[in-house]
Amino acid sequence: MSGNRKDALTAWLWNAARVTIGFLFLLAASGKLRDPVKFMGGMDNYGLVHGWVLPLGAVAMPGIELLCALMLLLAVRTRAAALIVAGMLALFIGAMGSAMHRHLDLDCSCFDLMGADSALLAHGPAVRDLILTALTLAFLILGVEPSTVPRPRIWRTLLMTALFAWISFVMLDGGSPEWRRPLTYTLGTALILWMVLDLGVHGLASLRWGAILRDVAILALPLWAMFHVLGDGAATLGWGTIFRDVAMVTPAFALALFGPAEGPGRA
Amino acid sequence: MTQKFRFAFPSRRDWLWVLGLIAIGGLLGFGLNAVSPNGINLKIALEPDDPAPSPAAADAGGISPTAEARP
Repeated sequence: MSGNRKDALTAWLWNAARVTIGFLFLLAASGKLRDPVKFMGGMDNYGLVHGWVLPLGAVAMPGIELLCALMLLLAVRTRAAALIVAGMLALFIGAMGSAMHRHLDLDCSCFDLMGADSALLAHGPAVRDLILTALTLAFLILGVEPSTVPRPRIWRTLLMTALFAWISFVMLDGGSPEWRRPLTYTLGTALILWMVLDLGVHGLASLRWGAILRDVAILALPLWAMFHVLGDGAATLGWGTIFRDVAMVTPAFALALFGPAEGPGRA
Repeated sequence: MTQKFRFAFPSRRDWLWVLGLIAIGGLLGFGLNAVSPNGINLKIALEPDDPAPSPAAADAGGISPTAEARP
């Protein structure tokens, strides 16, 4: 394999791992932010943290997960964000292993996709998983040179941040119900206007359709299957949940140790 | 342009960013919990559970001698 092809393959794998882990942590954080009391109860069931650490940990952890997800999805300070994600996953694996050793039978409290009850998720699990898959692919396509013309970084970053805000606070019911509908319309209109403006300036032919179709063909089915498994009710603690976190911690460490240089002035 | 990927242990700057992200993320969590309708009431959650009465307090009929001494 020539050097350029090898670099391109490495970059593609790195971006796919970055976006997938970022999106998973976004989902994990949204579920915990929707019902922090339930998450605190889940943490308490493990019997590992007590006293003041329990409420403070239950409040701080979703915020850290959300921020790391944003950094990974926007490819800003990826090494540091991936280090935190890998550390948290190692902590979760240790906690789950300890609970299994003590023969505790409990919900792992990792993901809570079933709690989301907005209109978008009311069409059944298959449609919900399809929407989540499409959003993950949208992040990948928006974040990884989607065109043959150079678009400003700020352009894509703002577009992705709007998408990120919509997923966190609207689709996954992370915020107050009163402003969910106006926020949906505002962000939805902004996204559509932005895309129309973008295509108006750069032209439809500027999109790299081959690369987009390749990403969709390779990643759509595994992503859909992954969301289907995660959304399938409460995950009882077991080897399956430990294997899932081990499968995530390996690429997270790879992102932390093996990525593009992040100099003082560069993201 | 293809980015160059290479193996490198996290630098001191990376570790500083780790600490910063944990601090900012923690504060973000507190802020989102405060505005969430299902948020944890930290005032109640951080209150200590009813402590067991000290032997001295039990001897004094449930009133701590130190409490009596306060103005």
